[in-house]
Amino acid sequence: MMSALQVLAIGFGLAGYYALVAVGFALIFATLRIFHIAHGTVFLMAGYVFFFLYRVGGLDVVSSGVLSVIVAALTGLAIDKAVYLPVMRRGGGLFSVFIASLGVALIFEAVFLVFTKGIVTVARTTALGIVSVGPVAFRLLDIFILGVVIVVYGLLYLWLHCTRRGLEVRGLTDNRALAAVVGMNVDQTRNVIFLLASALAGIAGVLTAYDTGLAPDTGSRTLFIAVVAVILGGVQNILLGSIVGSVSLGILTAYAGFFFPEWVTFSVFAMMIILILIRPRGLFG
Amino acid sequence: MLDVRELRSGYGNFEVLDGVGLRVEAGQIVALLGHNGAGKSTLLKAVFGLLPVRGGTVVFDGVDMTQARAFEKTARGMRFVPQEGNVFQNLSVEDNLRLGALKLPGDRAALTGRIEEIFATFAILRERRASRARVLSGGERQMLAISIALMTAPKLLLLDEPSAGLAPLAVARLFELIQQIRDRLGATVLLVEQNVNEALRVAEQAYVLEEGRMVFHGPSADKENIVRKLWRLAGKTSP
Repeated sequence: MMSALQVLAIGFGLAGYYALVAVGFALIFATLRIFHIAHGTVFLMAGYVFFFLYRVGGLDVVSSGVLSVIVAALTGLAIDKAVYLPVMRRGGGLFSVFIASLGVALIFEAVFLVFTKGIVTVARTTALGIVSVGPVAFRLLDIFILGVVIVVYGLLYLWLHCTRRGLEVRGLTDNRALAAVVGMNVDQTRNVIFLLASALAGIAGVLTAYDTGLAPDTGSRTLFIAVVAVILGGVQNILLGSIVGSVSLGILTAYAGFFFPEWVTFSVFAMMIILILIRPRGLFG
Repeated sequence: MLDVRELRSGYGNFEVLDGVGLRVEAGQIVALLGHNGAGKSTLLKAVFGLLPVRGGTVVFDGVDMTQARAFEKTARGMRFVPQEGNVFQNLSVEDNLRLGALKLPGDRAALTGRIEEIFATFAILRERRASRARVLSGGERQMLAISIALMTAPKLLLLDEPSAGLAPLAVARLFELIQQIRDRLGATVLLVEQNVNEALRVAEQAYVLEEGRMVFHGPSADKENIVRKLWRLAGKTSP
């Protein structure tokens, strides 16, 4: 019988995926107010590109991963340039952008479904290594993912607090109208935000493709949990909000998945609704 | 310094400014007066590049900047202080000032030096440098908003109702400050104000805007005439 500690370890592994997707989503939403549903598409794009480069093309794992993350970053930027910006320049509000984003996500999902026939595609060909600490077994991949999350969050913290571009992002999060008034080239900062957020989703996509594999709806399912994590944590606090929300949901989904597998979705959204009723702006909003 | 001719602008399909002209000479404080809804704030936003210009010209410092965007005008030395939402509430005073210096040429030392200059002028901001802007008093917040704009030593400062919501003592201090900005820092000021007496006291020239059209221009010393004009526009014959 799996111990409670073992389930906790699984929860932290899941939290790593959610955190990488959530922090990018939070970055875009907090600064640009765009509810970027197609962030899940970016995640999925990276995963499938990784699958084809690594599994089908035979490229080494690191090169495949790096190239896939680059494709993800460019996909996110392209979605903004080709869809969101034109909608906004034609006078469309944020709701129109949200609908456009939903459209992009559904179109890509349909395309992936046609090409993959809905089969789960797993990029790795070997079993995952495991290391045991007492009664708890950790997957090496989970440890790697947590390491990636720690490095990513640490670098993001330094970027936000020690660089001029990071200061601009914090300014945009606080007061978008004033950002333009103080002379910020908002379009340029926006490009950086989309590239960075999409690259982070790309990392999660690559790791997911390697770990559990992808199906055409994996992107939207992961994104929904990441969005709940962001709402739970509080949108205004990009780093702390997304990591606390992600860890909470990782642990919740692990325990719910272990004890009541059919109630995972119920648990996630019930937790979100209860917390919103108590703290409408999230834990750190 | 600023030459605006036949300017037309507005929000969406609604045109607010209907061929407005205005001229601000270097080193002047110019007051832009008018009742609520006359289009004063719209004029400042259109001049600064925050609203689309549908007609007319905006020449700043000898360069046609009619269609230039706000960050381009900031880089050339024009700064705008909005009436509301003019500080980054959740950022520290120092971070607010650093954001004001995005177009400041030079390195980190130049930035630090400029922040120290601002603190030398506004001692209270030095005391509050680590505080979030949202905990400042109304007067302090307005001081910070203007300081953000002063970070790049602007040639022209557009101030949108800076005294709105301030206590009388803070209003007096604010208008002193506006004079100092011109006298000591050499910035030209275009000032939108509801406080007619104080605005005319510090300004050399005054314009009166009504329903998107300029209806008066003259020296601010002609206060009696300006006030009478404003009362007539309000549908009254005397205060």
